[in-house]
Amino acid sequence: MKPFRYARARDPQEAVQMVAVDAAASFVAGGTTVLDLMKDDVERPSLLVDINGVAGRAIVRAGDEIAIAALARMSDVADDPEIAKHAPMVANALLQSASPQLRNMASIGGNLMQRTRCSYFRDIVAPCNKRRRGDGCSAIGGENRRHAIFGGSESCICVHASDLAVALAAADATIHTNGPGGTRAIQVSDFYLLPRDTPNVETALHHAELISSVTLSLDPALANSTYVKVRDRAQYEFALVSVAAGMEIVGGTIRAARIALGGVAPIPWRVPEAEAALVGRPATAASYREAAEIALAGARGCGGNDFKVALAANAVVRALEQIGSAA
Amino acid sequence: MTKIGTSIPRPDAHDKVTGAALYPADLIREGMLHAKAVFAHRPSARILRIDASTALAMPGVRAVLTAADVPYNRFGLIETDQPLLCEDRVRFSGDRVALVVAQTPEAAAAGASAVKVEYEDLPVLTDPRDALEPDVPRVHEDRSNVLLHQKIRKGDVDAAFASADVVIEGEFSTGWQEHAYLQPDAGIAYWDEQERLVLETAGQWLHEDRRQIAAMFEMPEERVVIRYAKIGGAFGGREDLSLPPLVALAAWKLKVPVAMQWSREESIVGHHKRHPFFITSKWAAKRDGTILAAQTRLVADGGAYASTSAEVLKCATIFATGPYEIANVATDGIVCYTNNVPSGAFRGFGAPQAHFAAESMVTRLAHALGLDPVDVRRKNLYREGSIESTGLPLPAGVGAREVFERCLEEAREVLPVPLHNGAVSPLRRGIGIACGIKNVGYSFGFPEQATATVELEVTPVSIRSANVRIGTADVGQGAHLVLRQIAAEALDLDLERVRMITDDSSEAPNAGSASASRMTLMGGRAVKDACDQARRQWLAGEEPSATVQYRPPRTTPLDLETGEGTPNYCYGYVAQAAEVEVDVRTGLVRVVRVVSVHDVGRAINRRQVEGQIEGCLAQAIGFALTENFICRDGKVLTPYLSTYLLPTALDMPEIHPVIVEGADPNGPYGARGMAEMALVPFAGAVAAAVHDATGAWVSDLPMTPERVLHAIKESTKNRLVTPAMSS
Repeated sequence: MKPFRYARARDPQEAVQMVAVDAAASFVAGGTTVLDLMKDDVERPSLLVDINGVAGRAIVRAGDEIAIAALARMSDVADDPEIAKHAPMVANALLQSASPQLRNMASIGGNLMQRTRCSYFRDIVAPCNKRRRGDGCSAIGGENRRHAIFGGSESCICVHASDLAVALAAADATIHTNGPGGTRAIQVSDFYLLPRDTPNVETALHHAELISSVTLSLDPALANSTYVKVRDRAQYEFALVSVAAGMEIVGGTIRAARIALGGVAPIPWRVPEAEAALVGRPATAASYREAAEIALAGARGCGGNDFKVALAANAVVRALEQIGSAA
Repeated sequence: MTKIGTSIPRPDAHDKVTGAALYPADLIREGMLHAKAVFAHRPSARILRIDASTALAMPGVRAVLTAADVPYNRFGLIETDQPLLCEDRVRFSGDRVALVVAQTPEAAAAGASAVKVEYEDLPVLTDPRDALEPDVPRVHEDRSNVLLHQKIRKGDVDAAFASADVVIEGEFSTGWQEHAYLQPDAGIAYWDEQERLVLETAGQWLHEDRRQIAAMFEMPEERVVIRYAKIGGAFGGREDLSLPPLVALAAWKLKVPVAMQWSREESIVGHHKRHPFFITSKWAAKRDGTILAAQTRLVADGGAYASTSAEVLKCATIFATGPYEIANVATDGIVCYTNNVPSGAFRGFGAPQAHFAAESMVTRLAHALGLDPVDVRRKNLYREGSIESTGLPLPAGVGAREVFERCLEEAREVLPVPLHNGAVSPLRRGIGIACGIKNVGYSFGFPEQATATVELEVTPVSIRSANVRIGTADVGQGAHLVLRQIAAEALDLDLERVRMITDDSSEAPNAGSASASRMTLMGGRAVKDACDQARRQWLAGEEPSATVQYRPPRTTPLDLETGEGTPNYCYGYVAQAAEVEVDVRTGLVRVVRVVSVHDVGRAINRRQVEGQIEGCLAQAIGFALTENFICRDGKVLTPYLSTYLLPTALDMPEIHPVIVEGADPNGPYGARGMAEMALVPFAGAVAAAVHDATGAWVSDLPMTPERVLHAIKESTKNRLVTPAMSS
């Protein structure tokens, strides 16, 4: 780890200003992800600005909207009764993430900003375009069991690590930010960027732009939702594949559907064609299987991860069955 | 008889769980220098130049040591083929090329990254099966890539195959496994007032560490003192010297106290692993279930240095037939050098890999014959007097049948009739059984002894207390308490009146390593014999102290071509039943319950025995299911515990440990070792249970979801194809 400076900000504006003047400065909240990256020498910030004191950790429901403060801890959100009732896929995604200790520390904003667990990205002697553009991608033609079956490019085939981001993508959540240029509201679908030939650019955030909150608009498909995560051990492990799914079912007919996949792409992977295929169809196993096949239609393995195509399809079916039977 | 057979609480437990116990890294003090290794991070290369000038100019950096600073730059437990610091050649990515010593850990790390090493990359050999080919690069220029080829030939397998009612074939593979001991490698070293080089660290064998380190610095062994702090587990991973000689080098050279600790990543990249094996098997049986022949070829990846590869390979070779007496055996065990991370000792020492194949084959044979796998095992299991594949009768105390029958009884109680939920539920349950055998103590003629000294403090009418000196590592298994209980029993003293002197090579005699499940039997016997002798001397009015060396019945090397010999003086026996739940949509396997039955001879401390069964099963779950160590193109891609998946509490099954006590003829109070046994049959039991649940055989470890899904897919394809019975 490279030596760095540390400073506490008192309010969001001060935090933004402190980071804005130093191109190598970063924010720190729970520290659970940035510390790992610094220890591995993947990130070498000159200055860490502690934002824990700049705002509250509240989760507030107002009408059909829930606003989650960016500094809320993963465990705060997972345990919140309104979230559990109105957006179970979000609570489920969080409860299947990391470990209890990490969930008690890690902030929601930090969770959304976590970086890929690709072994090559975290091994600083291996070429990686995400760490240094133009170096090449070691995972292409290398060990790629955990890598993307959607959305990869010739420069990067990593997968995004956050479970929460997958649920938020399915939920059409909005990410609110505070930056040098003022405040912004960004849809999750616009927040994460495909690698293309710039895998080093991962989100729509500008330097020194700070996530302030995440808002969810409540609807029946979000209320009847779940998160299925398939992983190599029972807890404390990233997804091989995961599915956030919600359905509004009325009289046995699907009225609305929300599906996003995790562990399959460099960004949370929403599957609108599969959602559309469910609408108007009966809530039956045949409909789910068909939707799963549509969801995985464009998937392409790169050797070590070929199994993910069938695995993800099965996970979609399982997720839909869970909420299909619950409705 | 109250000191043994009871569950006396561990005296060290409180300090360990409250954090008060001092492990090696806790010994680091202000004012010590700090050492940091420069790793090669490339699997095969020639070192052209090492330029330390930039590093040496950095603030706080005191020295950069290289191969030229090591008087005898070779070490190893069996063969000395590993350099402490590489001279001109790098053979695996965890090779060390230089050692930076600085005033702070930060300065040492900065210095290490400033050491410029110029390499010429060389061809990389990563598959031990390729290592057998003629025109592949040599890992060690001066010798063949084949470290050892051990054969066993008994009877005539070809004739048996020709006459058998059924012949089946199988292919298996097993992966690397990381020890992941609780506290990564660390230590301090300094010169003491008596001008002795003192190394305080963790290990498994004080006197062997001393021997190798004294040799490296060309010092008499008495000038080197090894002391062990508390040890956070070892599992075979501390048998080879990893960090300790590096910190010793810095202190030896600079004549100042030096500290060093490895991060988890450095430990994972830098120390040896369990051997991956590729196994091909061909077994034959008669219609009545008698196993007629077993032909097995085992190819193991030894990695870049010899470590204990030859011994592990020989163990795997003799256990290729499991605990079964088979008339016709042809086994070829081959271990090769590669440019992968070195492989060496790991709990089970070759037996778990060999048993995975053997136990799978026995169950498959039963299926092919239309017989119950239980009956086939009953028919072929070792019994007292059985002849091993190496040609001579087993050592007395064969508990194979007792543990198996007891396991069946317990399993009937504990495991429900499996619910085959058919096509309705994706969750299928199944039950599998497997048996195991594993040597206790050193094998194949390796010198085996343990020495203990007992000094009694006496009055004319009674023994007041005792000092027990025995140089032995308590790696967390509780060896020191077991030895203390044995002494207390032998001398009829309260436990508090027995003082143990165990962790200093200059204060306690050599009892051999805490490995091979041997310390209870070997160390325990030395302690008991020394207690008995000291007591006899006191009763005779002589000096009330005694030093006794215990030597067990001798073993011999195996004939390389036939395998003939006496491989071992003692075996432990185990049988297991496992219940699994398989999700046929995701390929995830969960072990729900396991019954693990062990013949331990005599349980000196029941709670510790059960603790060893449970802890061993945690590693067995990892070996069978979750621990997918990836070394690709010679690079370790799972250097973090975030991507190398140790089982968690939620991955653990309900465990039913069962202790059977069929006294060992040599062990103290009949005790024999057991700490490795639960790993031996477990993967085979899980494979059989997965088959019971799904109809699919998984033949590659760990059983990752994709392997299980693939096996299920293949078995559905082949459902109509059943093995043909020849007449």
